[in-house]
Amino acid sequence: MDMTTFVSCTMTDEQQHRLAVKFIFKCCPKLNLNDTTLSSACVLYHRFYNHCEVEDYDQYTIAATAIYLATKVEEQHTRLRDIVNVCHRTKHPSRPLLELNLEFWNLRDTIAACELFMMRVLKFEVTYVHPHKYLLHYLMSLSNLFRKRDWRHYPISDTAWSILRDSFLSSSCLEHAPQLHAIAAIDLALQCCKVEVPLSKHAKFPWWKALYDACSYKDIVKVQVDMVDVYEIVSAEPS
Amino acid sequence: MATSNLDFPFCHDVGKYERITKIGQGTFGEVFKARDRKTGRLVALKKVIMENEKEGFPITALREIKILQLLKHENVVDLIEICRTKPTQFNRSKGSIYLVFEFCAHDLAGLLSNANVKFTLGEIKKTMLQLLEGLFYIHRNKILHRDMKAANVLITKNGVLKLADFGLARAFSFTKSGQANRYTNRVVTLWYRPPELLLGDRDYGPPIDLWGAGCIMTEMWTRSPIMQGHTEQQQLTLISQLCGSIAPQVWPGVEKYDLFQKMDLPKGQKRKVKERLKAYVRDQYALDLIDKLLTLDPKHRIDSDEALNHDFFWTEPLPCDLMNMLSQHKTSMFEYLAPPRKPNHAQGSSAQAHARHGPHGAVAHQQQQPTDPSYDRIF
Repeated sequence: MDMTTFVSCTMTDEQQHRLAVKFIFKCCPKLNLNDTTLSSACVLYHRFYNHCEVEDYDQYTIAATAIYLATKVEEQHTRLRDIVNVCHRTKHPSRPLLELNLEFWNLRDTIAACELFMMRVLKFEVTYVHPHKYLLHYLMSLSNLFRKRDWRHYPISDTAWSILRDSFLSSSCLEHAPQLHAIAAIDLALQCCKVEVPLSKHAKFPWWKALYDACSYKDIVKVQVDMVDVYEIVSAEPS
Repeated sequence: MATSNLDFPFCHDVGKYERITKIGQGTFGEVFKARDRKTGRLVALKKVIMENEKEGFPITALREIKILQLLKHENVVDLIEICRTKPTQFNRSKGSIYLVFEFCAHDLAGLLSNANVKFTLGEIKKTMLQLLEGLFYIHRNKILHRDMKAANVLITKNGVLKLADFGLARAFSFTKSGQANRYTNRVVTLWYRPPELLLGDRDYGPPIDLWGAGCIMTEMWTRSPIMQGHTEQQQLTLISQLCGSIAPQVWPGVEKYDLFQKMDLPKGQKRKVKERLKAYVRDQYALDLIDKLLTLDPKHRIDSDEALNHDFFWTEPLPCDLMNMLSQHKTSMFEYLAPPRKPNHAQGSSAQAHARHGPHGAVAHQQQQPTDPSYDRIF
């Protein structure tokens, strides 16, 4: 028994999924995919394992398939050949590159077949409403309240975007309304930067209530707990 | 392990429907009429052809599924579910996928090709009203149909119109400053293809569907497609002969298309839409709306919202339900099943061949030549 199988035997399901989603995070930039396609791939992966057990299906095959299906869903077309090569290289960095041999064609056919299987498991419901577009709109509105100099000084947008991006590591990303998801990321970013939205003390409603009426601060905190959890597990896992 | 006995809970077997007959050939597969064995409900089954796919599930089929899941409207065909077949030795161990739609008794091309089906002016208004409401809804949801033609307009036995076949449809966005879209221009069946696509436009939008709506509206009176070109070049010539010369005076910026110089565009043609169609279309308001739908410049072509406010729909006789008229016809009428009319001249078959094997994949089946001898003179 080599080291990797030993590790995966002792890992919880959640840790195994975390490694596979981190694998998606590594592959997507290599394929030049943007962050919405990355988050769609994560959502497809998490949705799939809502229905299936990790013992029954190899999580890296599912991760590669999720990336491939996400490129179609988000209209960021990518050749299957490129997906196979990048995923293989990322999973096995020390092995030689894939040749055009039987192994390559088998991997290709596996992902093509797995794609259809994944769609059937998901009942062909593959669309996902991204929180990203809400995040951008909310940040645009908020930026108007800040002095230009302050807004440039604090990395609020970048921090919020990164927090949102990382939140897809955990399957809890499936549970939040996209508006709430975006607001929680912005609020967390404001806290990280130790910034308050100007004029908050004089405002009738808090800024998040003005942007998205259907949420309470309790909801926001709940989402933020899930978001922060991602970082704790990341630092606790074996390197 | 006996895999054939495994129950797959996620996607039903198409065997729950009993096939009755083939009713058409869609953009990416055959269409069958079928009946739910349990409930008796009639449905249409559309097969997704996947045998030759090297890149997995076809993107066009995935787009159609995504779009149909999004669109829920009285005048858009309803996707009930998606089914599968079991893999067998007959399909090289690859199961197929079927889209299951509500069943509609007729398509508009089938109705128009049957001389016994007569539309009153009020019924024509109701048909166009529903067609434009469907277009308004899909465009508001940022979807382009990209294959408007009479055969893709379904009508239920109760006279409700449904836009169908989203096999070429896609989402669109309005262009941001300086950043042009690059969509394929190899869409829409040739006879319904608007001039901007024929000139190679790749940054088009909703007006392409409204040109088709104009062609279909005219067909309500002429009973067959009005401009039956055999090639892109001939289609542009036919359009110029009806709508006037394609020139920067009527269409500012048209000279920027690469193909504007390369194609042979007839010069000095006057616009004769109303003049040529008045022998068929007696109603002044109808003529005016057709004229506005068949505007050469897509920026000035009427949109579905304005068209719905057009006097045509708000003057006597008002739009009138199709149910009574359709109740006189007991059999289904589909273009696919309609007996081919006698072709007037040999060109008819080449037009079919072109439309069917055109580079765009939009399939025009069994288009009939008109029997009216005056047809050739007018168009």
